[in-house]
Amino acid sequence: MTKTRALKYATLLSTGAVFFVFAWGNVQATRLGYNIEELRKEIKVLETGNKYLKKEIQLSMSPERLQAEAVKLGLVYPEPDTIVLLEEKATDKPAKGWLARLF
Amino acid sequence: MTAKTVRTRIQACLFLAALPAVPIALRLFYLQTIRHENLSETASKEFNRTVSEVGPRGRIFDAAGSLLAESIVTWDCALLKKELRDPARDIETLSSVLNLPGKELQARYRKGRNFVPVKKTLDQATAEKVKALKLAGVRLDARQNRYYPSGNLARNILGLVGNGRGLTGVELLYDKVLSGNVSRREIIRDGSKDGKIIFQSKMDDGRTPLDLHLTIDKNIQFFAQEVIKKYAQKNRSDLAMALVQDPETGRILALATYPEDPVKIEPVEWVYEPGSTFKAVTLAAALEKGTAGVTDSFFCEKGAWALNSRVTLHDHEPEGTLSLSGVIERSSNIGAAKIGLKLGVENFYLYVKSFGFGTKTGLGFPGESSGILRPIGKYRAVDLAVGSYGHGLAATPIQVLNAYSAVANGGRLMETRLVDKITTVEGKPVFANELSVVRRVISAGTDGIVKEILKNAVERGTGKNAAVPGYAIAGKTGTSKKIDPGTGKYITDKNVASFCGFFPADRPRYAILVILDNPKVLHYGGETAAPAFQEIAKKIITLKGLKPEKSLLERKTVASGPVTD
Repeated sequence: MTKTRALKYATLLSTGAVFFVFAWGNVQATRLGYNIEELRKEIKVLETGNKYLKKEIQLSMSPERLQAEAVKLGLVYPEPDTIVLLEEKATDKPAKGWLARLF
Repeated sequence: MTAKTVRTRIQACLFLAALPAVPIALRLFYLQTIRHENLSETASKEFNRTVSEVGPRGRIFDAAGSLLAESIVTWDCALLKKELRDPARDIETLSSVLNLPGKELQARYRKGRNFVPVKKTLDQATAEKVKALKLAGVRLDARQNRYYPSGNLARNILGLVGNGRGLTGVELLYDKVLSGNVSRREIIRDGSKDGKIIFQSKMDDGRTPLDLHLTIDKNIQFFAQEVIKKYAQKNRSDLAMALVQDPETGRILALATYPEDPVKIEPVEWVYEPGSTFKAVTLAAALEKGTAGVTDSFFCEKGAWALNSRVTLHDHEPEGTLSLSGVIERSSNIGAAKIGLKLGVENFYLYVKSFGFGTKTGLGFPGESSGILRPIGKYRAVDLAVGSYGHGLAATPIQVLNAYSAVANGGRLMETRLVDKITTVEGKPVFANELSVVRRVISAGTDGIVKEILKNAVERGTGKNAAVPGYAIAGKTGTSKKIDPGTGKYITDKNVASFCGFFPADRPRYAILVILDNPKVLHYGGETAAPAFQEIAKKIITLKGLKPEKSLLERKTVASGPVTD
């Protein structure tokens, strides 16, 4: 095989390789595009789901709901004169036990 | 055949084989270069789409950071008749998933042309169920929807939203702050039937909405709403309101109305004659100007005083001579008129204006009223006399509460605040609403005397139903007749009952105004509004853990006496 013919084959192969890489790149870009879009959708669904769960928490914490639950349990509002507020003394030191540290 | 002939033939064949490629190459050249722009534009139109998406509105929080309003994605379900494969079966399946009566949906299907709306504001779980059916011709459109996690809590303040825009209340007032951004995206779809998205890019993310933090305390607002509903129903009143303010800062902690109406903000729009609650303003002005003193006494004419040949003033209870404190405790109109007349028109008018009457509070709501205060030039002696006990002038509930807050905080009229701060979604402050003093109205010395007299009014006067054993409550009852808007005359059997006060009286933290419009069971402020005040105060005391000012033994002593005002 002469040098010229080898050069021709090399040029042909490299041109083919360039086209292949270009085509492969495009295919990959499209595939990744689909993947990204799938993930984007998934994120959106999860974010919305998260919002709905937070909504449930907020709903269960609403004063109206809490009062209804409290009434069901037979709880009533205390009158101010039934509450004795204890003053914290300066000498009162916080507990140091393992249970106190835990909480 | 010579080699030359063979080569010539091969060349001819090659030429003939290559010949069709020439017009193709020329055509390609023409399409790729000369018609490139037009064709790529057409292709873009086919596969690329620029879509606009409205983002969620900003959130609204209370003072403690509890969520009051937020936007959430919901789905609207619709049918495209032409795309349904088996309409009868599809409708049946869909109606069972959406809990809709099948017959109703079928009737709607028959009436509709192609687009048939099925159900709006589906939550995520329901929308997922519909998607899972994979029915051709069933459409789900996502849209931002406003929801209120605490139900009706503070709805009269929050207002309404329609098509992503604020229509009333805070939603309208702060629409620019809360509005959701419109983001634009360029989307490239493939050629499949569903047109799957291959790529999308953000072109313009628009302005990010901000979060609004109100001064409202969710729990106090709830208490106020519950109590005002109870007393409005009990007394069959047309309208009832309970307002709570922090007198030190002017921050509104609760604005409750019953019946709840998210279209109107009654505490700033509705006007009424404040009646005897206004006596505190006359008293403060007279003490500040020195036209009345704590040792002064006033003869209350045994319940009827002819001011001139046409006007006679009346008291609810016939009274003889009363001390300055007694005039307020017993709520004598004649005593208050005499204090007002000694004060004089100019001084009275000056202090009424200084306490904020006749001026909007600056909350900024479109329908806010400045009340009705006739020009000083038109004030006659009779106007001054009746004005001294809150007649012949009209105020909004927020003005009355703000004036009482000024009395509570040592004499400073504070700028009313409903918005605490504005932050980004991440919580970074953008704007903080600092407290602001409008003016000093009365001195601290005068203020101390007024507070003491208002304390007496609760301990042994007409406001005794507002007393909370163990706690120093200061306040004043009020009962005013309603005016017929047609004739401009007072209606004898319709009145507005109110009570305005604050506690703990020595270092007030909460100022409360309760109003019942046209109560039909009990009529006086001392009978209707004062107990409502007491109930709200008790709940706030328990909630906030306020310490009693009296010992356990002293707590249960409440004086008896008339509450007819």
